Amino acid sequence: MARKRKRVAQTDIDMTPMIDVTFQLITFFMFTLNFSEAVQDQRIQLPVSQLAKPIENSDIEPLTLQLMNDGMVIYNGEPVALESLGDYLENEKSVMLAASKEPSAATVVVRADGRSKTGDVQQIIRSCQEKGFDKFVLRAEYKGQ
Amino acid sequence: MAKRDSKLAGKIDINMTPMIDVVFQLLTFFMLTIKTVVEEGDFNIRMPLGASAGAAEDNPIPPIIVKMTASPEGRLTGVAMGQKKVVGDDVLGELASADAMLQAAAAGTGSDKAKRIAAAKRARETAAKQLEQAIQARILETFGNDLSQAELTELELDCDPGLEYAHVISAINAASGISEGGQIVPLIQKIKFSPPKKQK
Repeated sequence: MARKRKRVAQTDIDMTPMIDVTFQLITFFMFTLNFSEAVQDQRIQLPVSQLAKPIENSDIEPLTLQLMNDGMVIYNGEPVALESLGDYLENEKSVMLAASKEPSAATVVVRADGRSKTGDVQQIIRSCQEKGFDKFVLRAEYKGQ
Repeated sequence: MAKRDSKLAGKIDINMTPMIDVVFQLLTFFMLTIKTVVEEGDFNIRMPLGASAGAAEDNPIPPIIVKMTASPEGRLTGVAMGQKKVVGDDVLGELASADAMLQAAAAGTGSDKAKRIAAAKRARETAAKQLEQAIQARILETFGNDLSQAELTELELDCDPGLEYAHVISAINAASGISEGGQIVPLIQKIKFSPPKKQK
């Protein structure tokens, strides 16, 4: 018996490959972590398209307005009513003017849910136009063939 | 020397357990917080400030106006260019029945709910594709063989305010380019909405 126990104690599992693999996995998950959560809200199901152009990076941070299918707009991560969007845009405009930039220089990204109403999208565009924003893009989920 | 080294190495044993614990904790954390990033793209729409006031632009080519009507629930009931209907009733019917299927599947219960929802979504996708093809065929017809005109032409979308937004994206998708085996032939690049009608 004693001899047997001794033999068990001697067998040493080589941990190195397992640790290698585990670290590889950690690095993988760390890099694929989605940091742009505020910009890609999970409450919105974008309509799908094959032709949407890749997102252009401009030097001015675009203003992202996300429309949920119940007509609420997500602005800075908070749902706000479509009617009160104008006040928030006024804020945005004054911030831009303080940084000596014209509102028309910024792009407004409309991330609207596929099930939302077209009238609401148009309402967003109109509220933006009233505050001087006039470059718009409609965002869609890109799905190649 | 060699003897002494091997003896020493045999004696010192790093305890790996805490490290492995931490590493696995990290691994689980990252695995659970992961969200697959979906690829997204943009459609430019041209809505200059002057246009809302109805300013006429010096564009010799008249804009193509696509009128999309909707039922109060937001279902697409017709697509027209000028006086002509673009999409047949069969496609609209298919869209409506796929919508109804999706609604029934979402409201229903049972073990095959996910399967039924997936089937309804597939039916909807097929119907949406037919819709796009019909719109695209009609737009290509207006240009004849001269696709160079397309870039100069403006597309105006005149939609009922209640219309489901996904259909608008379908129409924009159909109008903005033809995708042939991975290659994209651009069509109309200037897209805008008609000034909205008064919402009742």
